[in-house]
Amino acid sequence: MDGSWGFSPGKAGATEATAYALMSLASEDFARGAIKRGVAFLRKTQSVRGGWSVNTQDTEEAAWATALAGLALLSFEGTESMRTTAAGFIVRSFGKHPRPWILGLADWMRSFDASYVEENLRGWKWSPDTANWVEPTSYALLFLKKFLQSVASGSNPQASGGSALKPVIAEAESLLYQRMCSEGGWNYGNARVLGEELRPYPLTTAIALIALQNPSSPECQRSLRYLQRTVPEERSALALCMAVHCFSLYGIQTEPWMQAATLLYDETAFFQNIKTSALALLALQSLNGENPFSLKN
Amino acid sequence: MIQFLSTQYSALIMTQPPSLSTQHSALRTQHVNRRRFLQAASTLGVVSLAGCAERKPTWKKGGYRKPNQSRVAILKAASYDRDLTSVILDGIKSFRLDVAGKRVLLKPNLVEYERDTVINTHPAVIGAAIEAFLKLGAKEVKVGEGPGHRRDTDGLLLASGLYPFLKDTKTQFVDLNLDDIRRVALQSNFMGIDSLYFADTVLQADLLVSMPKLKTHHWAGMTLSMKNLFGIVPGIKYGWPKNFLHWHGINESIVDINSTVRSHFAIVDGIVGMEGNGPIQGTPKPVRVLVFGDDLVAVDATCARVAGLKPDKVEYLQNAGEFIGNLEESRIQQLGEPISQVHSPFAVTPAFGHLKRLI
Repeated sequence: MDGSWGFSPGKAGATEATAYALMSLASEDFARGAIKRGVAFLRKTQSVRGGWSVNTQDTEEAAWATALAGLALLSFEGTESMRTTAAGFIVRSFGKHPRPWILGLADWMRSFDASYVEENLRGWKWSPDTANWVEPTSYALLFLKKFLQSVASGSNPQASGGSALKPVIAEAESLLYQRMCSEGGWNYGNARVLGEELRPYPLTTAIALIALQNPSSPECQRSLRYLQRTVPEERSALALCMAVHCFSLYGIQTEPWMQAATLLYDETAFFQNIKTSALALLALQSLNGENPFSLKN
Repeated sequence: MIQFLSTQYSALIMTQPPSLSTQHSALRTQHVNRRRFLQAASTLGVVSLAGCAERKPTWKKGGYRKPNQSRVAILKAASYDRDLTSVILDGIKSFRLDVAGKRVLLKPNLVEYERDTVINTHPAVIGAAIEAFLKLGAKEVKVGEGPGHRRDTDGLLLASGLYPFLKDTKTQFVDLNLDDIRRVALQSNFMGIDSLYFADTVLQADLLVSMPKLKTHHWAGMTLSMKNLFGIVPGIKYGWPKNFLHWHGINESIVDINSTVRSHFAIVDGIVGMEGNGPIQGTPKPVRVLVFGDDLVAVDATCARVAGLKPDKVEYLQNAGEFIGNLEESRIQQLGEPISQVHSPFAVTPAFGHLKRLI
């Protein structure tokens, strides 16, 4: 056993599935052996640059998978250096959409106009040399916020470069607000295509709201209303579990949606999806006030 | 809930895979998309200043499989309530398709779910295809898809109505986005890269069947059996959306994927298609046909002709027609209904007005 979890039994070890499994087991004494093996897997597979690939069959680091591994490691002592190098990798991966130099030059010239609004904000991508999207940006943003909290409470916050993260976090938040759909909420990251409004999705809305965790923001409130409106019809256990996490962070009732997820488990056994199972366990824990995504912890 | 909790904990502990075959040390040099840069530069008239010219896309010997003659069958199917299994059996039997003892993977088009829309391959067509291939002696039939926008494939299976069909026939569904992945050398060079990762279940199937919806597409003109194979490219590697493919060119990606991974058969759901601003926001268009074939270029070209569009003006079909399959009407033997009998002109977005053909 290499200590990892795949997305379903028998599949290759995946960073995302391993991260969620570790988070869900973190407080369980009976799972110490599995946790130890899981953390050892992450230690072994972290690259020298601090990143993780999406699974054991890939050779290229991914910032979004790295953020999830980093989030999981926040629950475990003795992983501080792994988290710090992970944060470094994520910050180095922060960037704009790649643009041909001629268009980049045009962007730069337009930036001198007082009415110019930067549309190509920096964020994170699913894979290098592509555009920035809501979900990878949300994971990286959440990890950096939690990492910043962890180093701020440590003995030497400056040594971990915590202050350098603040402008990165601020710009990533701006990117998320910019990508919000007009009715509130988020889809994968396009509010409009060819002049047509696109609709948000419950799952990505919950993920973005978890990353932002800003109840005083009108945009977050509008998106919460969208999520509350749509979640009663939701048939995705993954989306329901993320909605439970999200609502628990914003002080909204969660039990009906946990119940709905449980009913889906009875119907489908979550299609044997390890990530969904782990998120369901985490959602159950969040009913007791334990939420690994919370910035109040 | 306690039982649920304990089952889930056990599942988590039990599912740590046994071995690690990782290659984390080697990190590839980031690919600079010279081709895309040249396209942009060309638009701005700076190519001549740069003093360089674009390399003509080529294909390897393994990517060439254009037959002398292809066959496509158009069979009428009035609605999703009818006995579609017998129609699909008739369609498959029109071809020399060796199904007995084979592991069959059906790849439908499941993109999004919105009530009262016709975005996805209808579950009744998928259910009927499962039954048909089992009746023809397939060793196993799986259904696999890697949706391009939604990570919660579980919800898509339930909301789209596909899950009851899978449950009734005890058919395994594979989320190709979360499958094991394997890197494969591309057999043509339109994207300007050497290789792509694909879902392993696809590569292991003896018979891959592309089952798209007959739709227009606001970036590619049409989305049919060839474009449908975007779903075999794993989201876990390339994301949601699979922006990597867009970044390297949708038309170019379609050709390189289809030259590299062979789909042995196609069944197009044209009972109700989508016209206008497809593939998501278009309008339902009843055509009342299922289209079958073992040459995907010929199948897609025929579907375009049924929709009143010129296949040779669809960029990816034009390129694929050079080496993957037959585009020309003279090289496609029409089985079942003649095109003129089912011809049903589709509306397209203004950007694709040049596709419209006069019959």
